Amino acid sequence: MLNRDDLKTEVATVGIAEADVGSAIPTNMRRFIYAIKAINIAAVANLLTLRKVEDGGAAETIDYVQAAVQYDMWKDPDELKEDSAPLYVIEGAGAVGASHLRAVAGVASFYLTIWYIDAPA
Amino acid sequence: MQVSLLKTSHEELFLDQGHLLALGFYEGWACFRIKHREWANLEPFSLGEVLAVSNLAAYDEIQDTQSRHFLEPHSEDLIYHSFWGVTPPRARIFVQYPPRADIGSVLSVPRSETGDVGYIDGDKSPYTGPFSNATELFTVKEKYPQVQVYNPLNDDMYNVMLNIDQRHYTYTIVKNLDLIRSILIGAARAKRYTMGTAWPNVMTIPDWLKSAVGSELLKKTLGIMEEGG
Repeated sequence: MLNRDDLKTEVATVGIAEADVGSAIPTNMRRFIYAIKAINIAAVANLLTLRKVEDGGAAETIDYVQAAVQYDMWKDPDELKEDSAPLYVIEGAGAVGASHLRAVAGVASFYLTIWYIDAPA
Repeated sequence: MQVSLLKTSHEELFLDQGHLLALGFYEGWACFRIKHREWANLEPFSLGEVLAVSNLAAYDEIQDTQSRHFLEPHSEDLIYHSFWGVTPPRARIFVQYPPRADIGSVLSVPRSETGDVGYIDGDKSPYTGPFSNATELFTVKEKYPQVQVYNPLNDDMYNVMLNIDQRHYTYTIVKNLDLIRSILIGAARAKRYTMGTAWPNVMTIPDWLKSAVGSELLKKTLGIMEEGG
């Protein structure tokens, strides 16, 4: 259940080099990402790739966002409700290493905003 | 949030006029009958910023700017009964009552203030209530708790805040041994509350209350608890 007191926001500029978005996900917790907004800043069509790294493992693609023209905006969900389900769940750091959300753009760049909660369950 | 909806409201746990209360100290049980009650609250009480994966620099005694404890009765004539909730929900509150006596430890070794043992967070006791039974505190003059905060997240907490709901009771001390026996063995409907930790030692009774109750009576209450009278 989404608790507004727990909700945090992270804003990142995503370039062509894949990079972490936001802080590392704490041990024994999960990051529940409830909403994303992505704006294409490049003057051409663009592709945003969202990836996750769990417990220091290999990066795994979890979603794509396409943009046909500059300033195309993708926002999901349209409306965040108290009983909204998370879009993505990323497991927290484990014995091997850290966990992160990562992102990369086809062309520089995307503005990416995420709304998330770190919680054990 | 889901779980809290299933809990009984802490408001139903406050005592009413005429109710009986027994507070357990190391020296014995002090028994009271509530005469009058008054509501009081403190919202918000700011514990300040807590950086990622960090604690406060020191325990917070929950005081005003004049170093008066909000959770300690300002008069010997009063008993405070408090519950509290915390925001943000992931903030972990560690309680010592009295100061330097950890509440909620699992192991016999001193509790870590950065771990997974002996804390109440905003999931267990949400800021907007209902508050967890584990936050229940009875305080008398000269006795007060202190709290520490741990932020387990990798994001800073800008401001950790408590919401404290209180009732203030005036009282008469019960000295009738038959009634005390009924209170302690459960024959009379009464609230029994252990002051501070159950182990290794319950809180010592303040001198003024020891004088008011009487040392002999306190000793007798220990006998009643051990042997049922």
